[in-house]
Amino acid sequence: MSDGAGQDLNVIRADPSKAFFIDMLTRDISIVECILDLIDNAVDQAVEQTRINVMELLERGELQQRVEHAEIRIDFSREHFSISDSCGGISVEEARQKVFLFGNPGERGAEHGLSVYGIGMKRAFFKLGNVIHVHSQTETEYFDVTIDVPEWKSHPHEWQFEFDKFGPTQDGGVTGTQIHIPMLREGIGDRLSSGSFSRDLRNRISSTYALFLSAGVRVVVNGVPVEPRMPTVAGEPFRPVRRTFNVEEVEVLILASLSPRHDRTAHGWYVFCNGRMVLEADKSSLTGWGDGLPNFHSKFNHFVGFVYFGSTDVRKLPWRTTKQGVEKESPVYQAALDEMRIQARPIIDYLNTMYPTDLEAEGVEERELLDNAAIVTLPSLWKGETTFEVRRPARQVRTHVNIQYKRPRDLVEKIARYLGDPSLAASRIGEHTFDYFVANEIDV
Amino acid sequence: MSDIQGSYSRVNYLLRPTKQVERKMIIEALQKLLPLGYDIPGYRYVGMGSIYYVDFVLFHKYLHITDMLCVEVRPIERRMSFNRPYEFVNLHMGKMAEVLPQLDRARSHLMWLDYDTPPNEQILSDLATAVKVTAPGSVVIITVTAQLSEVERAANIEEMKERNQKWAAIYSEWFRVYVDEVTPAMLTRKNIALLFANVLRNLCIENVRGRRDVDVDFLPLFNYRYADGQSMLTVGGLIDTTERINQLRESRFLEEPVIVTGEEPVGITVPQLTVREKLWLDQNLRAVGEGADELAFELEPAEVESYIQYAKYYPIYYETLV
Repeated sequence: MSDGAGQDLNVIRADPSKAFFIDMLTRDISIVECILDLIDNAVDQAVEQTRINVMELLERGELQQRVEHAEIRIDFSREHFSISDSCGGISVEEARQKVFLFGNPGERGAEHGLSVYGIGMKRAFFKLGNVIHVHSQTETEYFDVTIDVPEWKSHPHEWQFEFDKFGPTQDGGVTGTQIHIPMLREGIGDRLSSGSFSRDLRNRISSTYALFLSAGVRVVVNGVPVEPRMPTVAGEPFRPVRRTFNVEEVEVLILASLSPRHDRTAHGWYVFCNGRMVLEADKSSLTGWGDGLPNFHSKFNHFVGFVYFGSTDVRKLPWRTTKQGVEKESPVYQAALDEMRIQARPIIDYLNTMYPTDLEAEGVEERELLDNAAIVTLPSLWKGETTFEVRRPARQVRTHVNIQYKRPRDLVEKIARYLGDPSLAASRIGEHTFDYFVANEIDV
Repeated sequence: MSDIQGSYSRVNYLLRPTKQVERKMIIEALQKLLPLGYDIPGYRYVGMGSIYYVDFVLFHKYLHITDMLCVEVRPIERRMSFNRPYEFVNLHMGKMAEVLPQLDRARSHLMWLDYDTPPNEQILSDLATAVKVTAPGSVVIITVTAQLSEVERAANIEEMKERNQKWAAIYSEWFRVYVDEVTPAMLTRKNIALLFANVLRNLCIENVRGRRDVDVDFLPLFNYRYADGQSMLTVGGLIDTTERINQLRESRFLEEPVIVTGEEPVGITVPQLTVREKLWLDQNLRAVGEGADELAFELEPAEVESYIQYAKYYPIYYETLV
């Protein structure tokens, strides 16, 4: 069936629009997260090249091999942004068939890798730039692509980019990918050059890729290398939680304990997929707070928990397209959440007794134990299956307690005079009146 | 101080007759599970025995359980060790919350979370964990205080109202997942057991059905309230595969008089009797039950009725010189 103009009336149109990718999808994600997406691609290549599994750091306490020569350099200013890596490069065929597609057609990515949905890089391009140059070189070939976003957007039905050039590698040199964005999108330069941006980005990189940085991947931001940052936890006399299990081909590792006494950060839960952090210091119902666990409260600041999901099939992991947060409904995550609640509870109980509401403030044993606890790193907890326990020293039952209260000054002075010593200290008067009550009212 | 005193220092556990009746009723129910394929003697018992270990002794004698763990939070380790009735009773000095994550998930348990306070956030969380970590076939029981002493101790009506409202607000928050709003009227001595029973039971059902590791369901078996001084509530049931629970539902097991599957807690009351009175009642049980015989002593009809109902569980205590 068709109308006079030759249009098939049975057809309902469902084409994608370029504006959807350029202007809408980019709203779901921050600039920092876009840059992390670009780092993911480089790290994914490094993983594929070296076949490394950074989870070994937590599963065996050390890595069988380290990543060598994988460096990711990020440089930016008000005028430009660039990221270049030495992680092996993209082949011409991969570029032609796969890398620039919007959405992964369903193939497996690198084992233990970070590339899942096939959207991050393109979204980052559109978020950050109007003009993007991509140069990549493997050991045998190279290519160059320039994306002029306004120009590309003006052809609504052409869903391809074109190589500027490609061919066999001429001069050896570094294998890797360089993305250069000489023309930033409006507003991006202001953010990149703001005082806090660089610090935020470095902080996010140091915790998001802590395992990869520890495994030898180097990330350098505006010339300064980023160090890995993994919280430490309290050891002896505390025994941290270490629990591992498998759900639907995903390995789950849960570590949890108290954070050391000097650590003032409010922690909560940290969630990782194939070693990459997707949720940092979460204190929401996403990790059980207020849903099976009590609502988060400042007295739980010392709770610190880590959940690592690992799989050779990245599609099975509970991450979202932005790699921020988790897909809460996924059966894998739900199974982990059950276990997280079970394992967190004794730690939360401990913190409840550390900050009692109705006891004298000083000398709470729980606090003293944390003050003097050993401090241990996560990789050092690689052995065994353990639950949270406190190895308390043989307890001395405290036989005395402090009492503090306020009473009207004139009455206190009256008692002092009555006792024949107007200079008697208030604390002595308190003791005297207590003793008087005991002597007259209590059978001891 | 308060942390080394528990209900054990106020009440001699052995002399709490309704608690003892309750224990025997639970044992009878569990014995009825034996022929239905539940290997109770192979279970591990986890309880909070206090220094008397009454439940441990009974469960060993009548259910033949030989692997037990007693959890004790008060710092009385030597006393607990000293009173340990069998070498197979292990002792954990610490909180139930610490113990639960350590349990063998493949093992069937008989577990009795026996508290002497009204339910609070920690108790609810212990119960939620307990029903999540025990293997199919396990029986989980919880006892809590079913009265609000703080409200009852109020000096006048205004203060009582105020405290009632305070607790209604607190419970509304703690119980929000399991019941709708808690009103002050639900907190009276008469009503509070029903509220707590609903919360504990719904908590078990929701958490068991929410398990991802196995396809299990919760079958309520116990819902008793009783008072040896304090009003107490005991709720419990069986965690098992949906298939086995459905089989039990269709069997005659649930018709056993000791089983309470309904929402309303069943009160266990027994009269205080002398040994002579008990023996006389036992000799004349049928006649008394039919109302044919004059009683040899004064006893309210309700007391007679409750004695008849619980006669076979009624404990007798003698002083023994040891």
